[in-house]
Amino acid sequence: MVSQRDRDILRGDLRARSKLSTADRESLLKSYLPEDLSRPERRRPHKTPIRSFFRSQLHHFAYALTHIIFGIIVRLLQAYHAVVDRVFAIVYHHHRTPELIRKDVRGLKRLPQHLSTILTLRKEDDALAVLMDEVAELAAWSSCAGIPQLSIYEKTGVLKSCIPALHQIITTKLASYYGSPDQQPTLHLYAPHHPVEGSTTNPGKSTLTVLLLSSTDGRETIVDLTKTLAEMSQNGKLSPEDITPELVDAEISDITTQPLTAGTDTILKPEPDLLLVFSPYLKLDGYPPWQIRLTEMYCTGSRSHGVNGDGEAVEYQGYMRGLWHFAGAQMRFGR
Amino acid sequence: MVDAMIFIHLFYRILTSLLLYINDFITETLKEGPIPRHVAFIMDGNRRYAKQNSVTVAEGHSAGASTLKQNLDQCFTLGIEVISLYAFSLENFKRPQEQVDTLMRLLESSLLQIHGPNTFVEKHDVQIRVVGRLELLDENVLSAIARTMDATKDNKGKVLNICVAYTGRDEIATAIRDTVFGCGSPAKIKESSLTDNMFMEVPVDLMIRTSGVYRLSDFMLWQCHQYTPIEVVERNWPDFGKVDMGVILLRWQRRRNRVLISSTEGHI
Repeated sequence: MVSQRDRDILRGDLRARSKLSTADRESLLKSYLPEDLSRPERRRPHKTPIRSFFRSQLHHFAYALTHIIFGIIVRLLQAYHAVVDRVFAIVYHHHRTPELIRKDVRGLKRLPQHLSTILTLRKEDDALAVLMDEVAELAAWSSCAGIPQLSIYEKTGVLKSCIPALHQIITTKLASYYGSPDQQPTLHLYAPHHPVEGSTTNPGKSTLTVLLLSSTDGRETIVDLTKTLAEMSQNGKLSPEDITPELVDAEISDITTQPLTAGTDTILKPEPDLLLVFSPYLKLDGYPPWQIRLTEMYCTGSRSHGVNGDGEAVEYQGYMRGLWHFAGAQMRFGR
Repeated sequence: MVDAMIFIHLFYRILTSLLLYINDFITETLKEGPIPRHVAFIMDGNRRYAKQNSVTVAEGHSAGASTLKQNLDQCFTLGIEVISLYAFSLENFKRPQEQVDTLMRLLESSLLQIHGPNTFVEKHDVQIRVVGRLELLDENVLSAIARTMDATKDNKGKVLNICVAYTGRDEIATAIRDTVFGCGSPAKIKESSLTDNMFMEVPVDLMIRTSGVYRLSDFMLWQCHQYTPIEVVERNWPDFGKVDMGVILLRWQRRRNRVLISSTEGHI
C-alpha cells in the first residue's frame, strides 16, 4: 500500500501543478516497485550452460590431474630423500661415543648456545616412553657437542608431570655415553613454575640445562601476564603507558628462567638460537611466540615435502643436519 | 619485408594471448581446490638481488616493488582474501640513513600509485591498511599513508595489510597495553581479547619468506605460531615468480586435502 504521507505529497504536487521534478516523483514511487527483473546480468549465465558446465568440468579434471602428478613427484622426492637419509644415518652415527660427536661438530663455524626442539607425542601405547627416550638422546648429544642449554617443546605438556622420572632416564642415558659418573655433566631439569630437579653445580664440571615447555607457556602465559598487569594498573601500581616491549620481555624471560635463578647460579638465555622442528614440514604448533622472533628454524623433514601430520623420529643425522644448517654449512657424505 | 613484419607481429599476438589463456587456465584450475584465506609475505633479498645483478640498492628495491605488484594481482585473482606484507621493520631504522630514505621514498611513491583507475586495487576492490608504529615516520610518508587508506577504506573485496615500522613483539606489547586500558575486570581477559587488539586479527594460513632465510625476523609472531606452515623459498624476492607461488599453493592444497581425509577417517 502507498503510505498516506507519500500520497499526500504526490496529490499536493499535482494540485500545485508539478513542483516536484521527474526524479523526485520517481524516487517517491521507487519503494513500491518490485525488484528489477529485467537485469541483463541475471540471464547471462543461462546463455551458455553447456559450455560453462564443460569448462568447470575441465578445470576440475585438470585440478585432479595436477594433484596426481604432483603427488607422484612428491613421492619420488620422498623416496630419494629417504635413501639419502639412510646413507647419512650410516655415515653419521654417534655410537654413544662423546669423542665421535665432538669430531662431527669440530668443523662448524658456530654452535647454538641455546638449542630448542619441537617434539610430538605419538599415538601409540608406549608414546610417553619413546618421547622420554628421545629427550634423553637429545640431551646426551647436546652435552657431547658442547651445547649447554636445551629446551624441549611438546604441545600437551605431558613431560612436565614426570620431571623426576625424566631426570632419572636422562642421567642413565648420560652414563651410557660418558661411562663413569665423574665425567658426566651436571644436569638441571626444570619447567616454568616447577622447581629445578638436579644437584647443585659442581665447579670444574660442565652443566647441561634442560627446560621443558608446552603450549601453556605460549599464549596462556601472555594472557596471564596481561591479567596481572591489568590488576596492577587498577591498583594504581602501574600506568598502562609503562607497558613496553622491554617490560613484557623482562617479565616473560623471568617466568622461564625464575626457577633456575632461584635454585642454581646458571643463567639461561631466554631466546633460543636454533629451533629444530622434528616434523614433516615447518610449523610452530603453538611454540611460545615471544621467544622465537630471531631464532633460526630448521625442519628435519622439510626436504621431503612431507604431508603427514605426525612428528618425525628423532635421529642423530637429522640433529646433525640442523647444526650444520645453523653453521651455514652443507652436509657431505664423507666425514 | 612488410609481410614478414606482419607475420612476426601476428605470431607475437597469438603467443601472448596463448600465454594469457594458459595463465587463466592454471589460475582457474588451482581455484578448484582449497585456497588459504590469509597469506603473509616476508619480502627478503632485494639488496642481495641488487648485489648479484650489480645494480644499485634502489634499483633492487624497485624491482622488488614490481614483483610485488604482479604477485598481489595473481594472489587476489586466486581468491586469497587477506595479504599481509612486511615492508619495513622497526629494526630497519638502524640501517644507514641513505637506505632508510630510499625505502621511505619508494614506499611513499608506491602508496600514491597503488590505487586509482586500472590498478589491481580497483580490479579486486582492495582495502589497504597500513599498520605499525606510524608515529615514527616522517610527514610526507604519513600523508601518503593517510591518503591511500582514506581512498580505499570503503572497499569491501579484499584486504591488504602493509606493516611499516612494525615488529611482532611491539604488536603484542601494544595489544597488552590496549587490553589493560580497555578491560573492565582483569578476570575477564581472555586469549580472544588480546587477539582482537592485535593489528591483524585474522590468523595466517600460509607464511612465505624468500631468499632462503629460516627466521621470522619478528613478523606476525602472534598470528603464525600455531598451525601456520612456513615456506621458505631460496630465490630472492625480485625473482619470486608465478611458478614458485603455484608450487607452494599445490603443496598447501595437498596438505589440506590430506588433513581433511584423515579427519573424516577418524570420524568413521
